[in-house]
Amino acid sequence: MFNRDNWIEIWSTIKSNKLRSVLTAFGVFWGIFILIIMLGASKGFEDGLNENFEGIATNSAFMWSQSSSIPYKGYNAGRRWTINNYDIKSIKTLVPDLDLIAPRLQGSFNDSGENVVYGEMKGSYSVFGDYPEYFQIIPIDITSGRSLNQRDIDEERKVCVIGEDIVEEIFRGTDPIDEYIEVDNVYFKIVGVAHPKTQMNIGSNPKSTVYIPFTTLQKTYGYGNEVHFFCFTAKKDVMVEEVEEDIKAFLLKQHDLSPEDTKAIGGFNMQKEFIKLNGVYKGVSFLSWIVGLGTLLAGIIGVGNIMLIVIKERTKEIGIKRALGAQSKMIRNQILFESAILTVFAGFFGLFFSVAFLELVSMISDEATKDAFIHFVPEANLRMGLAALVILILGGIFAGLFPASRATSIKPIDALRDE
Amino acid sequence: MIKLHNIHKSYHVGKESLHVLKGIDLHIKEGELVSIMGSSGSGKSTLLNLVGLLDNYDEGTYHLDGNLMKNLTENQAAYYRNRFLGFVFQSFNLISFKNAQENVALPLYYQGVKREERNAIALEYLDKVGLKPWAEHMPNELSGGQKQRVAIARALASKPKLILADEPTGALDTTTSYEVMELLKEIHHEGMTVVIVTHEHDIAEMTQKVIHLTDGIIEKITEH
Ligand SMILES: Nc1ncnc2c1ncn2[C@@H]1O[C@H](COP(=O)(O)OP(=O)(O)OP(=O)(O)O)[C@@H](O)[C@H]1O
Ligand SMILES: [Mg+2]
Repeated sequence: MFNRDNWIEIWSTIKSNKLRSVLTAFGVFWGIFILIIMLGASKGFEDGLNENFEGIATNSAFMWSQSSSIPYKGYNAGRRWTINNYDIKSIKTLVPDLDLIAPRLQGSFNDSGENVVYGEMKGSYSVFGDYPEYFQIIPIDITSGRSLNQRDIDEERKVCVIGEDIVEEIFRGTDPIDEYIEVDNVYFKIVGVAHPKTQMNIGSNPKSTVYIPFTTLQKTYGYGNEVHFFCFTAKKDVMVEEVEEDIKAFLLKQHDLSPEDTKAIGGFNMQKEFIKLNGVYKGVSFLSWIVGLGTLLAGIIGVGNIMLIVIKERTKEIGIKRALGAQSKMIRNQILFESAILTVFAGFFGLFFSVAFLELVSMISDEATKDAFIHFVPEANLRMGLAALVILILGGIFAGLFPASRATSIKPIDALRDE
Repeated sequence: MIKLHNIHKSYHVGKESLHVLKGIDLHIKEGELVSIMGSSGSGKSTLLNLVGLLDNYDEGTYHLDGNLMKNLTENQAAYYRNRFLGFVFQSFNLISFKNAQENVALPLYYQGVKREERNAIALEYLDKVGLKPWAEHMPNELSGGQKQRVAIARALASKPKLILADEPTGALDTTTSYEVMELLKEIHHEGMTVVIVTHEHDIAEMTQKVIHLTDGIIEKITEH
């Protein structure tokens, strides 16, 4: 079947029916083009989302104190209360499913302007007091020097890790390690430079944050044993929500708050957000599959349809060929091959152009969305593309099957009589 | 070459049934040049088509070169058409997107003849019908007479035992008709069996034997 004569025969019929060949091919081309584009876009979307959560412990949550909303044990509603060091210590021992806990303090709340000074250079930046555990939950990349460690905490060292924007703006790009900067009138030695791993900001953008050991900040800012907020993770296979409940119950009891008071404690559950976004992604991905496959299917049906018209148009030609002794097998194979070749050819073009298109888009959007919430870089999934092509070829043959059997079921005399 | 015995054929259109051939007995010997005459609707084409294995008959027996042609599968019929029969149609039936040479070579393609060889054979037969210089021309670049000569070359190319021509001159003017008839006579002289359907007397005159068909039965056979 695969000899040169057959190819020439098939090629000559494809060539001699240019318009319908082009139309057929276009349906398939468009189908595969759309499918690959849709899948590429949804892949880009997924990657962008994952990038946001990259390294972040998704089984984590944050918690902070708010005003009470229910009068309780002689206290009025609207009472302000604060979390303290003792609470953190107690939570550590009392909540068995807790994995990590990292209390945080923020330096100055009043936007006092330029709070960071280095020689002549000044700037205003966020200041946070942190435990090393915090960076296990919301990771940062240390581009030079080191991160904060337990000894910094224990010895209440006056050291800090600064964000890369601070290096850029205050140090003009020179090496800041081991230099001293003045933060809210206290000198700190720079031990590391931080680069954010994700676009997610918790409290501040890591690029423009000064990280100080928690204990140091608590002392130098005169916070006593106060904790502004804390984040924590659940042990493996435990929903962070359960841990959240336990901690809430403890804090409410500890601070004489009503067990029914849902407003007294503020919080943010990363896992819930992640699941929500994941759901959005799944929806997008599902939709793109539906639309893409739908278009592809329409393309294949289009091939079948056009082949059917073609058979009608070429009934006479088929009649002549059969009168001259063409076996029905030959007629059928020729039609099958024609439709298969058309689909493969068009599908290949569709694959090629869609991949090229995605490359182009990703080149542009890579830069354009670098700092956006979703860093969108669509990516052609070649494996999926090839799978689609295989589906297409099978589809093409399938699409030719019905017209082919139609063509050979007509009696030669009727085919000849066809005008 | 052809032996028909008590052939019946009806067409069914919806619930109506039209009895077209009503018991044909016919014997055409090898090397004969025969014409079938009759008024329009008498069943000439129907007869020729079932002799040509393009259609089947309802009743009777048909022997082609000694082989009984009955209940053939489509592929068997295609085989016999390809090896035994050459067709010439009133409307030429050339394939419009193939040139003269490719048209002539087509039956050889179905015989599995190699490309170079079948092109050479095709050219040889085009030469025989006087159209060698037109080998590369497409059908729409040829006159009616030329088209019919290409069709005859195509019918001959597969070296059939029998040429069946349904009104081969029906679409041609008198001069061209005579040229085509001369060609068919020449082929006959070389030993080919030729059956021509016509309703023109002058064409029938040129054959050895005229079968007169009236309303689905053979009325008489005249010999020249
Ligand atoms: N496919 C068909 N279906 C139904 N009836 C048909 C069919 N083909 C032919 N007939 C009828 O059968 C009869 C004989 O037709 P046929 O074509 O054999 O006549 P003919 O002798 O060749 O006529 P003409 O000289 O006009 O070509 C006609 O009445 C015609 O209408
Ligand atoms: Mg007729």
